[in-house]
Amino acid sequence: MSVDAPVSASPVADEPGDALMIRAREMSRVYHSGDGVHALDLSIPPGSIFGFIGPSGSGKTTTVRLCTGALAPTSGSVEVFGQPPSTFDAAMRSRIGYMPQLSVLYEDLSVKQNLAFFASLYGPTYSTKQRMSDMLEFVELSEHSAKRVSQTSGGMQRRLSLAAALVHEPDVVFLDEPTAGIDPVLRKKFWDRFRDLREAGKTLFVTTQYVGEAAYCDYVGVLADGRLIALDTPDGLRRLAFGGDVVDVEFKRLVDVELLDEMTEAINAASYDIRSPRTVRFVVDEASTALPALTSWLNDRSVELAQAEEFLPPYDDVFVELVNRFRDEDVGIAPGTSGRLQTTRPADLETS
Amino acid sequence: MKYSFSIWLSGTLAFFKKELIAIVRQPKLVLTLVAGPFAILALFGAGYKQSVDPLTAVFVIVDSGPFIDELESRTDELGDDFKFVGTVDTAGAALTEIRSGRADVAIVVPPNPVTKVRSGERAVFTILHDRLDPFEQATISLLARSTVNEINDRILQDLVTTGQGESADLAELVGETQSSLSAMRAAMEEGNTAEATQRRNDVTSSLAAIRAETSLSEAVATSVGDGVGGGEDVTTGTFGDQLNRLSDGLDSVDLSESDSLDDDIATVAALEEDAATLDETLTEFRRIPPDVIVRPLDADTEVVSAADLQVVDFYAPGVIALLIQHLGIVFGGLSLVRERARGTTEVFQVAPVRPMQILLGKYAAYLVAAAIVAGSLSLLMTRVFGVPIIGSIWLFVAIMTLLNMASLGIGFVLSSVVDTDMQAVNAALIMLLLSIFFSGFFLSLDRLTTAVRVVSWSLPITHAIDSLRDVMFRGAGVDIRTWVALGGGSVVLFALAWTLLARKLASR
Repeated sequence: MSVDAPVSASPVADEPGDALMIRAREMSRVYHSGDGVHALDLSIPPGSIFGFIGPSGSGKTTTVRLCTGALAPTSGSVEVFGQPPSTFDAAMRSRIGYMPQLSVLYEDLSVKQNLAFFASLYGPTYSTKQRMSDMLEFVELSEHSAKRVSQTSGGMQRRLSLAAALVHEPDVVFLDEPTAGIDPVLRKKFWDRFRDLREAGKTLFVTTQYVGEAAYCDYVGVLADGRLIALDTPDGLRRLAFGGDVVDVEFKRLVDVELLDEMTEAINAASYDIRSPRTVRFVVDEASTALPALTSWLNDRSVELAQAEEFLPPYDDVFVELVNRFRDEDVGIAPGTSGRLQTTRPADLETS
Repeated sequence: MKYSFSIWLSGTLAFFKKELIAIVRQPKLVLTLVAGPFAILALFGAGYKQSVDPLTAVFVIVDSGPFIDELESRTDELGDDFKFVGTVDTAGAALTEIRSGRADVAIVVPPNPVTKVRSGERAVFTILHDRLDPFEQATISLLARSTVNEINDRILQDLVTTGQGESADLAELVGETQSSLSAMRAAMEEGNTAEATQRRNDVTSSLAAIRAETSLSEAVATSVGDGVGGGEDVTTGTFGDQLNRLSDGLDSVDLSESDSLDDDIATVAALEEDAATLDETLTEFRRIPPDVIVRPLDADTEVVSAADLQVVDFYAPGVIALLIQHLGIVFGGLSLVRERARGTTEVFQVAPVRPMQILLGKYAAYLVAAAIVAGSLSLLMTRVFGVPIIGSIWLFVAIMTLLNMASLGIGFVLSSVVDTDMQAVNAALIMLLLSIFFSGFFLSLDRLTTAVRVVSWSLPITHAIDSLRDVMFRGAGVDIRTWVALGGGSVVLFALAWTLLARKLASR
């Protein structure tokens, strides 16, 4: 497949800092080995789900730790609620929820005791009987509340960890691979919960290795080798990967290349790729306008169409495309324009 | 949300409850902590012997002679420390006996011991053994010296007994001396110079006979005078002095000079009194038992502390203290390391949790757990073994609590510097070994050099064991040094642990 579109962030508006929940500027954290994250620019509005996708070791957890204040940047800056998290006092920390990548539960304690422990760290208000009951119901663990954690399944433990991160009703929640190692049904439930939280005005920063989960997010950042290689809405990311919308055209008979070249010019396609003797994939600026134009142009020339439709590439392909291009071409996001998002209200966004 | 004291307290109590539940959820752990040391002490108490078995000994006798025959015939008198099991004629054979386990030691008898003594040298008995334990080696040396002293005493005792038998003849000669002096004085008063001279010759002959026969008895009598009297009697002197005084006094009497007759009569009268004293000395010498003469001084010890202690009693406070210290160090040491390994430290970094809350909550939980263990163990020891607590029970509790706090401090400090729970456990074991060797638990601190004693007294447990023994067995109070060491140490260690934990939790 040939796609000429450069890997870059979608055009964004630069919002004032106080309208953002999380803002990072040239944020770097470099370890002695040279690994870490490099010059990340992030601007995440409140009330959104920000997905952070990247392969293992790409720097997702380091980024989360920088945003929670557990780590301090070696250069650049990061602000949450308009303030560096490393300077947070107890009251500000209470506004953050954090679910680490690995289980941090106490195996000797029961499900309820674990939840009560984490709730009590934020004050007696959150460890009341009613609150415990509500939270356990929220994560569907009410029936297992008396079980010791050591006797629960991995999925139950992830749900309990989620409850522990949310029990104090934080404004922003950092979830480090919350769906890792759990079955698709439970993953779906998790994302349903996340969207509920977003609807309640919470901001979620979710890292994941499951690229398909990008579809659930309002914005997605793609991280590779410690660098942010793309940042956009899910649809925007797809367009970014392929240089525009993708349209698959199936002809009833074989067509020659001259026709395809003319057709490309006529519908203003960026490129095309012959997928099979009768099937061709075009990259167009807008599928919604290109498809009628394409049908009309072919009718005028009496070329019979079997099928023409927009193709939505899976996010796995999007991710692979982006990462490969980054690694092959060492193309990054142009400084100064990368990592900033349109601050469209998430409720107005269509997610797949 | 405004951060308030209630939130602070809620967080602190969360750690307290969490740790306590985790411990209670491990009944086997609690049971082991109580039953383990109790079983060890019970076994120790049941198996400990107040006296050691006698060492089996073979004699290595190269030559023969009257002394050797005598020695072999009296092996049952070696004392309780050695048990004679046979005789061999070479050192090599003796070593074979030792290595085969048939004998613990070999006593090499020197060749011709009597000849050696007569030549003015000591006859040295050499003890051979193959024990590795330095304490056993010292014990064998001590037992050997003690046994040789015992043999020496028996030799002397036999000689004294013989001397006392011979002193009957001496008494008769002294009696004759007294009679001759009385007759001499009577002849002088009557002016019978010839008779006086005859009697004087009789006295001289008697004194010479006494000198001839009492060369040994005189030496013994001299030592009796020194030992029993605490020194020479200035009026009577020793047996030899008295004999000399008699001889000198007799020599001063000049029977040919009539001008000094009155003085000479007075001199002879004084000599009569000296002879009577000599007789009394001999009588006293025969009256004193030979073993008293040989060993005039003895020692007896009496424990003046309030408690009559068994060996188990003595070690009980040390065992409890060691357990409490080990518990504190392991609890504290593992606690933070495991939080780090589990990843919860990262959550605490993000949550509104302060190092003080973590430490206070954990300290309180571990204090309660250790108090339950120590209380149960103390109860068992006092009720089952009858270990006494004569002093204040509250002082006992206070020392235990402070030791626990100090130990937790050590544990938390260790926990902040080690990386894995394996390292924490190893560090706790090293602390345990350090404490066993240097706390005075089984080895008196007097046996350590001053420099090493600094190490001993830098350990909280050293102060605790010392004070616990004072409180439990002497009914004494606790000195200021202990309060400062345990209390101050606890505070300093807590502050250090807090500082280290704060650094760990700070943004890095």
